Amino acid sequence: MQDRSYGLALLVFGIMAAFAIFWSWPFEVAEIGGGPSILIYLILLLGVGIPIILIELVLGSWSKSIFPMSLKMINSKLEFFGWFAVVNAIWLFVGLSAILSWCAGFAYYSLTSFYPLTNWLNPLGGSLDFVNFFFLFSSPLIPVVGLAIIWVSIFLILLKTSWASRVRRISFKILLSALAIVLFIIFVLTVSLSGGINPGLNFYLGFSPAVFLGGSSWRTLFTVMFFNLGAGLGIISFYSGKIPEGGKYLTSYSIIIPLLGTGLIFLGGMAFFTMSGESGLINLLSSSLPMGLLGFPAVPFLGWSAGFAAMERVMGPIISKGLAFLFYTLIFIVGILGLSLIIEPIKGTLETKFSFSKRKFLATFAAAGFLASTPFSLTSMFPWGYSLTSLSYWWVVGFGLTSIILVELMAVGWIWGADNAIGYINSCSQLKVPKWFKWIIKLVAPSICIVALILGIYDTFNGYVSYSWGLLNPLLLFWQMFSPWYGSLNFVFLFLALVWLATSSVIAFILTRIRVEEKSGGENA
Amino acid sequence: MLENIFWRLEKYGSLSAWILILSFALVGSLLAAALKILGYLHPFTIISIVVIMAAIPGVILAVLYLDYLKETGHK
Repeated sequence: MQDRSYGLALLVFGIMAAFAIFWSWPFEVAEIGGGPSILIYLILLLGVGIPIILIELVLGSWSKSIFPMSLKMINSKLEFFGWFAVVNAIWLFVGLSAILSWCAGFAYYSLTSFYPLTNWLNPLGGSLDFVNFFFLFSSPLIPVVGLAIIWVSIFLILLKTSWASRVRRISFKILLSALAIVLFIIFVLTVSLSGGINPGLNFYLGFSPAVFLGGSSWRTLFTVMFFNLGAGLGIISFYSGKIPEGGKYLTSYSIIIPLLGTGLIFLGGMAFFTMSGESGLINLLSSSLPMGLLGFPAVPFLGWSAGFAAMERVMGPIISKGLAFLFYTLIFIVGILGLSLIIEPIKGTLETKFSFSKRKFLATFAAAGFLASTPFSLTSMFPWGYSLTSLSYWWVVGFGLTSIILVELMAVGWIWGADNAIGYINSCSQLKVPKWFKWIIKLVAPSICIVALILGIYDTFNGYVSYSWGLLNPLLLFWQMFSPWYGSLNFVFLFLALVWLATSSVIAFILTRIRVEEKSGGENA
Repeated sequence: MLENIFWRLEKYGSLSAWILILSFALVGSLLAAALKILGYLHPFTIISIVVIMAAIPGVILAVLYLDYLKETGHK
């Protein structure tokens, strides 16, 4: 047992957990409404999330190839969707690198001046402080410096694969454990403060009928899960072929690794919401007006820093600033290592297609990544910088990941055959999968994806486009103040969808075609 | 350390997987009781803590235990 390695797949869940803790999970919990949703999330994870991860692990373990080629081995027409997943993943990680750059900004401010933020919690001045907050933490310099560090680091890490992968694997485990310890310390320190349990923990894990029944998005539960698990990106299947004795532990990996990631995310949520109970954020979230003013995706940026500020008031600057710096720095480093890990299969996938020199290819890739992610990070220069990130998240995660997972499930369940997949799992894995599992692959999980897509379309036209969703209010605020295009946000939002869909489809199509031409060229030669 | 625990549980076979899950539900209850001393806990918060403890660390250990049983050749 001691020599068992959960390998690189664990790291994929680690990085997704780090992003979820810092950014997506707190606002999504605030949106979907605490305890009951978290329990439903757990049921969905056990019933649908883990089977999806098992399918991704099976694809990699069975094909021992990159994701598009795995799909191609099932049916040659499916290769396009594999490349679509790769381009979709690039879209996602360009946005996530911008979020990491803000994290670098927070690490900097945690030692210097982000404590003026203590004033933003005045509900009457909430809207103005919200705008000031964005200007404070995203001066053009800090995020761009952060982005430069991120992409140069990724370039160096991927260039020195031989030693970097070993260092990365060891350091990643240490860093993730350190992150868990820091979160646990924050939880223990803040749970005993006046607002820690009530309203903090009760908001996170208790039952609030108004939020739960009035929550706009049940689909959020599905998309959050796909994002948290890193499913539908083609990355898990890439690494599953490399896990030592991956076949033997196929079933147990698919259960243990997502649960470890989820445990880390839940721990992050507990730390965040006990802090937020003390800082007063929960009171803002519980009342309707400031919720609209804040906008949900902004919650974690405000929440973590306000929480550390509240800790400083009670415990003094050394503990709070020290924990804040450790927290942001750990997320930043884990994020860089994780991004390199996630970009590696994309790089490897593209490298198998083209005979570029490694250095030139990586330099071009890193430069393109830096340039592409810069507009996402420049909130103060371009008021729509932040909007780009959250709006592209809406499309890339809400529709991109879900569609790819649906295609993957249909391919395995109906084209390859669920019986064949189960036969493969049971032929190599220690823990066997029951026969009825095939109905989860063939019917239950695809149905949930279809429901999530339909609800997504409904939410898009009833939430975003009608201006009624919380996220839009701060965007409108920016628009009113800075943009001559005010009033054309619907257009921008839908235009972004077209850009995402068109670029992903066209690049995926080209990548699919190039391989065919190369192959035929090779045959002619 | 884990192997010592699993070795002791081995005599109950796969039933011990449930023992592990229920043990963590018990740990969750104790944690909730400790938190309740610190302040008001919504009943659903208590349920959530118990379920999360059983479903995450409990299930992880149960799966590790089932793997251990397979590796030691236990029927």
